[in-house]
Amino acid sequence: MRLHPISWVMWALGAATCALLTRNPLYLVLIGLSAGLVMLTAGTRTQARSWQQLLKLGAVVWLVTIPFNALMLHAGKHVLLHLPQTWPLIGGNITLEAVLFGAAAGLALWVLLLIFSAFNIALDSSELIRLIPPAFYQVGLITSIGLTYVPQMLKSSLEIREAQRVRGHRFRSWRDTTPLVMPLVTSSLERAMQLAESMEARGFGGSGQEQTTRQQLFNSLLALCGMALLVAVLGIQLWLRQYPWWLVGLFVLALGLLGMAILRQSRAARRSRYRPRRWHSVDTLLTAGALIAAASMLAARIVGGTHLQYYPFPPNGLLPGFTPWVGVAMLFLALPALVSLALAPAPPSRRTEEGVPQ
Amino acid sequence: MRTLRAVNNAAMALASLIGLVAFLYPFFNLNLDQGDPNWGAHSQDAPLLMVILVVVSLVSLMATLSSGRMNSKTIAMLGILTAVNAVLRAVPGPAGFSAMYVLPIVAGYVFGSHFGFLLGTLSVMVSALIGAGVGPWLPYQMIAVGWIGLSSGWLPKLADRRLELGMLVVWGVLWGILFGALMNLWFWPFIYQEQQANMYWQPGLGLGEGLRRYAVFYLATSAWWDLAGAVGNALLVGLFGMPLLKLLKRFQRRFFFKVD
Repeated sequence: MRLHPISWVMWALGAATCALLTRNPLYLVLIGLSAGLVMLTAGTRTQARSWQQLLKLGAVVWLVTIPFNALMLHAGKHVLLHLPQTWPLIGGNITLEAVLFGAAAGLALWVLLLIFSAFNIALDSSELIRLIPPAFYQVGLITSIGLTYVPQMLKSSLEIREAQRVRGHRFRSWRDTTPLVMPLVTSSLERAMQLAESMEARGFGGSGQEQTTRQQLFNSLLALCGMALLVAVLGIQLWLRQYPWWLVGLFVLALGLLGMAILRQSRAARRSRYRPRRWHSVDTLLTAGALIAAASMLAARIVGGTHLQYYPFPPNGLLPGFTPWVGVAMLFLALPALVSLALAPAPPSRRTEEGVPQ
Repeated sequence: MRTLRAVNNAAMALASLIGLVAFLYPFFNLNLDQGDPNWGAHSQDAPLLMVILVVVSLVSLMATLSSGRMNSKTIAMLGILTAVNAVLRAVPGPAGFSAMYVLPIVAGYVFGSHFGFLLGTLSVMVSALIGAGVGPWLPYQMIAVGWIGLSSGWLPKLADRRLELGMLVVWGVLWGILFGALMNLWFWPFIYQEQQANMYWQPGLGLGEGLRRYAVFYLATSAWWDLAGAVGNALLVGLFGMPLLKLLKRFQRRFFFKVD
């Protein structure tokens, strides 16, 4: 059994919200542990390896930024070593505080990377495209054409390369790549021509219920009003420099107008689904877990005094504070890992995995 | 039909404005509690809001652009050029170099700003899906590359081939630098460091002072990186620009003919 793509999206959004709202390394470690568990149990897709590479690269970048931070920031009481003041930029005290601060900041970014690699490993890109609402069916179509043609593109670039080599062309520097790139683009455009013809031959563009120009105009006006309201809200906010309740209301109204325009567009474009995904009770559980974690983090932010920030410089201590309930809430993010461990079937055959009735 | 187009264009202009404000948002946000030693405490409310704003404006831009209902030829062409560009992005190069800006520039110039915008945003999305990674940075990259294509459509159509190529080369250099400067804004306002106040943002600074500090920061950190990208753009446009222009114009005549 596989989880519903929407519950994965909810998980990624919840986890990312948590990681974006805190800088406290203790919470971040908890989020990171949860995301790491999820990533390990998400499956053994071939993509997993490239993501591990990316994570390694991220870790290297993180380690490199720590000394950079330490060289630039000279505040703090715990002096590790002293560089001559006359050295530009880096002269002064190298402090433990700066090292810790840099490490915590890097950790936040790395945890975010971890969350999204777990998400990318767990969810196939074709499933992501399925989530594009019908209003954007054209954008979705372009994206799936793009994704489908990438492997073909790589194949034909290899073929062209070979053909040019046979003719005696040698690829020595980037200047010799014109005979590779131009045929590639030309043949791709020829292919686009064929694709367009075959799309039309199959009835593309002749949808059953066309929207009248009037309906379209109404939708566009709706979107325009939403957008104008959003601009107004932003302008007022920048001018007043605070968020009164009525402004928040206007913001929600603007988003609502935009949502309505998209909904109306979606209704006009009917779409049928081949083998729709089913929503299981586990998905509800997962979504609830992600929402609990994100809501707790937001609540912790609003309540205050929950040590969400980490600032080791005096007068604060070196060690970050910790509020147990926030930490516990972060563990809800590990739910997908527990679920997939608990539901892990014997080596799944392809058919049961796709949800065909047994 | 003409009113519809006008309304769509207006919506698009507003969405671009919102996107731009979202990029610049932290500079307007004076709510940072500076009396508190933890004055950074609220500095992170902004990124979340900014991600939401960028997503909203991106989604509405796409909605208005595709509500004009593209025909099958435009869709097929966009899909396939998107694939080409996504592959080009994976071409390794030194420093800030990336081969992915050439196609939005040239195609945006030939086929118009809407085509360029969609080509830019969608090719970033496809390359993210095939391996570059989906994350909160994605909407920013999408909208920034989309703007490259969008603005390339505004360039004047020149009759002289050489002049045309020269203009596109200069355009590539400009965007190489501007793109880096724009993407830096994603993090620059949030990394204030007291000891080097002269190159970091502080809430409440004026526009001039802010720009000056940003210039110092830019020269000290990312200028060389972006310069490599700009030079790469210039070289690529110089090398492939002429044949690409010729090719795209030929296909434009083949694809989009009108029978009166």
